[in-house]
Amino acid sequence: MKKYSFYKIPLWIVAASLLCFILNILFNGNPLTAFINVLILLLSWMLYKNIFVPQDDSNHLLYFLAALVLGAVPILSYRPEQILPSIILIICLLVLVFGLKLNFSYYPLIILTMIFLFLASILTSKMVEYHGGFKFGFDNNRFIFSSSALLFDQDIISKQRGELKVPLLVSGVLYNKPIFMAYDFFENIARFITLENLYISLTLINIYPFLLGVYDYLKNKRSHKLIIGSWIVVTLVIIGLRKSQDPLDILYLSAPLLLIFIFNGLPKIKAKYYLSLLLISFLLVFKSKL
Amino acid sequence: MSRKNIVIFGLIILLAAILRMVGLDHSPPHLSNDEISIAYDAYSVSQTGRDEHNHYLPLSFQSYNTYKAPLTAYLLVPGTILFGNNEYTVRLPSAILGTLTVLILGLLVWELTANINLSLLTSFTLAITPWHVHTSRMALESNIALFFLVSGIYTFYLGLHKFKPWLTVISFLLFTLSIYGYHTEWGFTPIVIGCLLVTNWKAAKNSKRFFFGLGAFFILITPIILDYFHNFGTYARANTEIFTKDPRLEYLLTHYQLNIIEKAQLFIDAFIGNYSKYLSIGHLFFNGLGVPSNVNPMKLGLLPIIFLPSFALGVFYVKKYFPNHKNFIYLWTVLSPVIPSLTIGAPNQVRNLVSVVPYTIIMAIGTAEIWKRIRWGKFQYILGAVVVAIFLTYVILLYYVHMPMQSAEGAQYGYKQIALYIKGHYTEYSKIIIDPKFGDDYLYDGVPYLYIPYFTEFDPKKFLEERKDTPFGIFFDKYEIRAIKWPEEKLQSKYLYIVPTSNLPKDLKDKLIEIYHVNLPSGKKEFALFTLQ
Repeated sequence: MKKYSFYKIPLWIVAASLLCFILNILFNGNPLTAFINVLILLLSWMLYKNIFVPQDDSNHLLYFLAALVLGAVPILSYRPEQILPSIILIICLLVLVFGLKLNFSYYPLIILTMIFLFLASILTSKMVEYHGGFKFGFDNNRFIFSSSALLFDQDIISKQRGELKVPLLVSGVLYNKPIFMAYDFFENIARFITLENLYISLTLINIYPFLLGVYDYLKNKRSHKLIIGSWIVVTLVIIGLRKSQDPLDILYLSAPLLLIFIFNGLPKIKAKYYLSLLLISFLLVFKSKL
Repeated sequence: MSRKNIVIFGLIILLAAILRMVGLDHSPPHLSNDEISIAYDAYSVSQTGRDEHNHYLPLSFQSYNTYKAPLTAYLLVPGTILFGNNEYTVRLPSAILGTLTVLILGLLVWELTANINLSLLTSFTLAITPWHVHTSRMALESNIALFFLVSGIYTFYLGLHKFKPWLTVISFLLFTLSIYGYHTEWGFTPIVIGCLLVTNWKAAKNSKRFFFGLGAFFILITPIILDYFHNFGTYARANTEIFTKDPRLEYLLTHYQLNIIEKAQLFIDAFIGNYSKYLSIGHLFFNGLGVPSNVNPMKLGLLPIIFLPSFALGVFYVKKYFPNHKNFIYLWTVLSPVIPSLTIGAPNQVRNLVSVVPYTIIMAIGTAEIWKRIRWGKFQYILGAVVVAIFLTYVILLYYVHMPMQSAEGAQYGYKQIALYIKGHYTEYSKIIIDPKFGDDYLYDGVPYLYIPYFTEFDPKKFLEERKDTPFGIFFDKYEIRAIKWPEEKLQSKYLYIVPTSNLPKDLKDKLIEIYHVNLPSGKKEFALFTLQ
């Protein structure tokens, strides 16, 4: 994109940002949210440039089109209930982008940003509520464990003691509360990982480059694996912990991660598949409000 | 194959057989709605040549107006003649074919990869996969059709590689049988054949036998297709189960004036939603089996949870292990949930059973890759054995201990026990009145009109001659299958009244005497039998 770049920012990212801003204004009517979401898009692209070695796809019309479509990704039109997590996300992105650029100490940089992302996630999920100043409240009911522990106590223990005559040793291993809660935690994560949630967050058209990007990332050994890996772990931990499974709410703080994979997949898209999906996506975008 | 590998293969098949055949009368605890329908039709055909609705040797069994595929019922006929009416007669053919699927899949992988270790691993993985174990332990059409589908693919490749035309012809005959086996295969088998021909086009295009086989396939499936069109407009399966019959979708389609684009949007959305549910990791590895029941906090996924990491890794290594057939494996993986996604009630493990094969292959590939990378010597084997043993213990506990206790009521447990009581006391009563409702809330309708004649071995010819379906119930011989409203009931001596515990004659304790009752395996009382004092 060197040919059309403006202060090293390629034209397609400018166009995608503009589209993102317009859609945010249309859907949310809030310039601050629009600004934050555009900033997330731009910083995600900058982070992508730092982490990966972007392939040169200059003058590729399909790439331009795909990148433009990225500006309309639903996760970038999402307006979280609280502004604080969004600000934390922006700070994390800034720290990562400039920290990597300025060669800051690597591990403290990652640990710090991931802790901040984790805190932002629990704030978004309202597991911890911010009451202003330094006042925070802890809502136990929003954790998956509150219900699973109750279910275990009510159901399993009664069965274990009463109806079932399972040898005590086996019972101790299999009907074990921590094991059961761990199962519930992982089940919660697994339940979330669906095509439908990706479809809701990214739209059908962007799933294609996303999957290509993930495949490429896993296939080729990249540098900065720790950033991507720890971000994925933080996201999965939050998904596993929280009871509510609203995909946009959960994935909003992981939007940069999703975008990075899409950026990584864009150069590999094939026109015939992409354009067919684009056609279907267009069909789905202009939905009547039934 | 070396002697050692033959022994290992034999042990795997033995394990598969034990998991699929032991205790068929105990777990699942009772013949299900669909099983008893198939079982009764097989019994009726074995005695009269006609199904319960008096159709002579039908190509689709009307059943509960769901028009079942015919193969399962006909497969049950010899066993019914030889061994009588019981759970083993009903479930053993499916269990045997399920066990054979484990064998055939191993042979298929061997044929495609020449890798005996991967072949053994694939067979072992399928042998302990809860999804396949569960479906093999029931008389499910999908499990029987899967055997013919996998056998068809195996013989197709065998014919291709060994240049034996007769094997190719047999493969198309097996594909035909899969079509007669289950409705998912109506759509999926042609897709598989298409994929096989496309991915092996170089070999296929110059050989007439493939086109001869294809022609034979289309000719042989013509009768069932014609039969479908004959039933079209009734309650034929594809009409009742298609995803447009989903209540929400149907409401939108009937209550709004939608243009073609809006309709297409709804269909695509519904399809993506369904397809996504079939591919959900939670459904596949954590909670999809629904056994023992959804209220039990201890859950079981369709696939072994211990193979989840293998599954994730295996997806990326298909190319390495199946260099010449990677496209076929990927296509099978991606396309197998397509047909089930076009039906209501997703995710449905029975309709999507065709997916178990590619998923098993992928899990085996991942396990082989992990096994190769870890070099812990003997400890590796010990660890593997311990992990598998814990998993199998968990499955067996849930399946044999929890499930009979918790899922019995949903499977209409009790009608067999009632039938056995009636069989011993038939002459003592002039009329037997059975309330077909069951469950705590007096809400669900059972099918005692099939369970009772089946387990009492009532003459099907007499059943066909005497059966009267009325708005009030079903009547034959001395049986009346109808709702019992105690205040309106004219109580008579020598009448036997059978009711669920949700409809006990509380105000008639002085007139009626409870002579027998049926408890669920959990100990809860489910049915009670009364006569006049």
